[in-house]
Amino acid sequence: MSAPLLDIRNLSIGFPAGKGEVLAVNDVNFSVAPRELVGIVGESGSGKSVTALAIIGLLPPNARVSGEIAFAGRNLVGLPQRQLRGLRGKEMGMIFQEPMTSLNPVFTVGDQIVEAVRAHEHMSLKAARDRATELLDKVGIPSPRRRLDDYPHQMSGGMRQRVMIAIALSSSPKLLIADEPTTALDVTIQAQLLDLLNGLREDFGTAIVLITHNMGVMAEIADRVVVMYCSRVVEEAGIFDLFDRPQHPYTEGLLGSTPDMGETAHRLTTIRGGMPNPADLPPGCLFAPRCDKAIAQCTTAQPPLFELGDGQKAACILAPKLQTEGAT
Amino acid sequence: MTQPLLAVEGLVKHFALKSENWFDRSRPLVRAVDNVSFSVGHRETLALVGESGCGKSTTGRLILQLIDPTAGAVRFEGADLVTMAPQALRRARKDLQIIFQDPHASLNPRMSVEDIILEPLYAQGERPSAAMRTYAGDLLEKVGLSRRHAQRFAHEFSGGQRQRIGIARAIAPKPKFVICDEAVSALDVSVQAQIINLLQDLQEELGMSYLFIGHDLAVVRHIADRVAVMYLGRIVETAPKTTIYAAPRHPYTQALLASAPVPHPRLRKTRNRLRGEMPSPLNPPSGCHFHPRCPLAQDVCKTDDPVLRTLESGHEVACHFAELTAGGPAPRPS
Ligand SMILES: Nc1ncnc2c1ncn2[C@@H]1O[C@H](COP(=O)(O)OP(=O)(O)OP(=O)(O)O)[C@@H](O)[C@H]1O
Ligand SMILES: Nc1ncnc2c1ncn2[C@@H]1O[C@H](COP(=O)(O)OP(=O)(O)OP(=O)(O)O)[C@@H](O)[C@H]1O
Ligand code: SF4
Ligand SMILES: [Mg+2]
Ligand SMILES: [Mg+2]
Repeated sequence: MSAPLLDIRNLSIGFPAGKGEVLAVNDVNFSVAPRELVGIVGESGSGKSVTALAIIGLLPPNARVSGEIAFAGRNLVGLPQRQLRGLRGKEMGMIFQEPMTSLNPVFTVGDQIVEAVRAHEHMSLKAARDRATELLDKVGIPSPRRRLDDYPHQMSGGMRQRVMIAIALSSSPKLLIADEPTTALDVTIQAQLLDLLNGLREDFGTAIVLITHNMGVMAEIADRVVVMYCSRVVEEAGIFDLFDRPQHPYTEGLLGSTPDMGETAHRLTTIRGGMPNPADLPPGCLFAPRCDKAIAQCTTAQPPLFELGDGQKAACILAPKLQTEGAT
Repeated sequence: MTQPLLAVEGLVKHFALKSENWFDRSRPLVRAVDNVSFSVGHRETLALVGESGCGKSTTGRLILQLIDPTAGAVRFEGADLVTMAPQALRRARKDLQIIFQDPHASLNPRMSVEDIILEPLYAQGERPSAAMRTYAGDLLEKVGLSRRHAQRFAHEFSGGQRQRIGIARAIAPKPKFVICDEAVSALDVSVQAQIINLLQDLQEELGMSYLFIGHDLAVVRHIADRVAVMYLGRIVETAPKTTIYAAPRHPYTQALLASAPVPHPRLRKTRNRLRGEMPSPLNPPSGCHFHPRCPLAQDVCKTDDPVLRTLESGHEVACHFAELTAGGPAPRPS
């Protein structure tokens, strides 16, 4: 495997809460090689978007960051905004979870794509508009030329999402972070978008971090997956291992809750209970209060991420045991 | 037959866009919703599915009178909301709530979460009180958040947490009818399952009805009683859930079901693709809107609009050749 393009080491991110601080991201480690697609899944509120915002340098000013985010060998933590701005758009692209947070409501989508196009390439307004039309067409928006003059509120949710994707595709970034890029898209356009992401990897060697709740999308496109639970990484595995032999009970629960097309049971399976209060964490494994396999030991110390071979890691004290049992 | 809770009749919405240049006075029209009719019964969930941009959210906003229809009626408990006097409409609003597709755009950034959740009740004349605050806390817990979050602002939450704040707000006044516009799409599967179970419990306890707009066909399959499939501003098929999934008859519905992703990496290559591009609502194809992409299209499809007609009780299809589509494309591998 080539040297990682993105290497995240001991990343922790806290937000002030009352007199203290609550960690939204707690000692997270993972890396992404060029051309690789690493997925992040995890419970709502587990720290996926905050991690993404940290990479791209767009955390709110009250966030406190420690650890290291090495991008092409350079640590981005603590880098001045001016330098980060230089990287954004050109070397790093981002598709945000909620399109309206990043589209400007008072400019037409055409203006916004044209601005992005001209930010990294000198071209005439006319050429940039042609390029913008082409990009809208690529992301599957019908009558793209006419739609350039729409304001964001004149577009449907899925169209706005695709405008953002068009902006991210306007450069050929080394790293693209896509936070729930397909939530508002129907299955046909979703498939088209996954093709575009794969195209970026093949044509430009772009590395992609894809955050999604959709296990179907994950299964279709990811090489490796990082599973987050309550601000920590609880498992990391190749896509096949993740589906075939998940090692953390949370991952298992997540896969077990995926509604499938054949199921017609009256109630959907859930993982019982809810994520613990980050200001008042249980001792030991943060998943223990919800875990069916938990033993007394689970509540005494936080299990580290055990290396299980083939790049698979899991933060469960039972994982290494299962592993050796499985091997013999 | 008893009167449905909600009946939408011949709903039309055209949006006029800017002319392309100063000389061209014809303002192009987006035919977002093009003669749509359906009804939702008491304690019923109707799912509305279809391609991005086909008019689902616009239909939802028209029902709530957040935008004015170009034509058509929206009868709620028999009374037409379109022609209703403003005061009566305000009263009806309590029973009609919506969970918006884009939580960020719909939650007031300057209000505490508690005030956001209680706002529909305040709008009905309720006064802030300790009991109301307790109620807001209960709702937060129902959607899997903590009551200690009541004084926080929307931007301090994650995307899925914001979506759940929108859900708590919509169910706060115990409405009779809720439009859920992609209401669970930002949630991980476990929390999503909790919320769907909650919506179903509320339906049983309080008799709520839902218009459930969604892209995830597995989720729709779980929650819906009936499914309406929309294509480019029109409804092309409606049927009870079991019929739609087991025996879809419109070629578009068949293609849609066949292109659902299979949640396993070993089945990567089995996804079928709908061929051709989505046509534009600015310039919809003649005849059947689906004909440029339809494997069955004949000449008549290019000229004549197929009307929505009943194949069997409760199953309506808008296709000239609906009699020939039984069996449809091969079922998905499982
Ligand atoms: N600006 C902020 N101030 C305080 N807390 C915040 C802020 N932004 C996020 N948080 C908290 O940090 C935690 C992680 O949030 P994050 O947005 O990363 O979750 P997520 O994993 O992306 O969830 P989702 O799947 O719901 O989008 C959440 O508990 C959230 O409430
Ligand atoms: N205010 C508006 N002005 C002009 N066009 C509009 C306006 N609102 C919606 N439209 C257009 O109407 C069509 C239908 O939009 P709508 O939001 O109803 O789609 P949708 O089915 O909800 O799609 P999605 O699944 O992407 O959310 C789109 O072409 C959209 O651009
Ligand atoms: S009417 Fe014709 S074009 Fe339309 S769906 Fe039926 S066969 Fe296809
Ligand atoms: Mg998020
Ligand atoms: Mg919509």
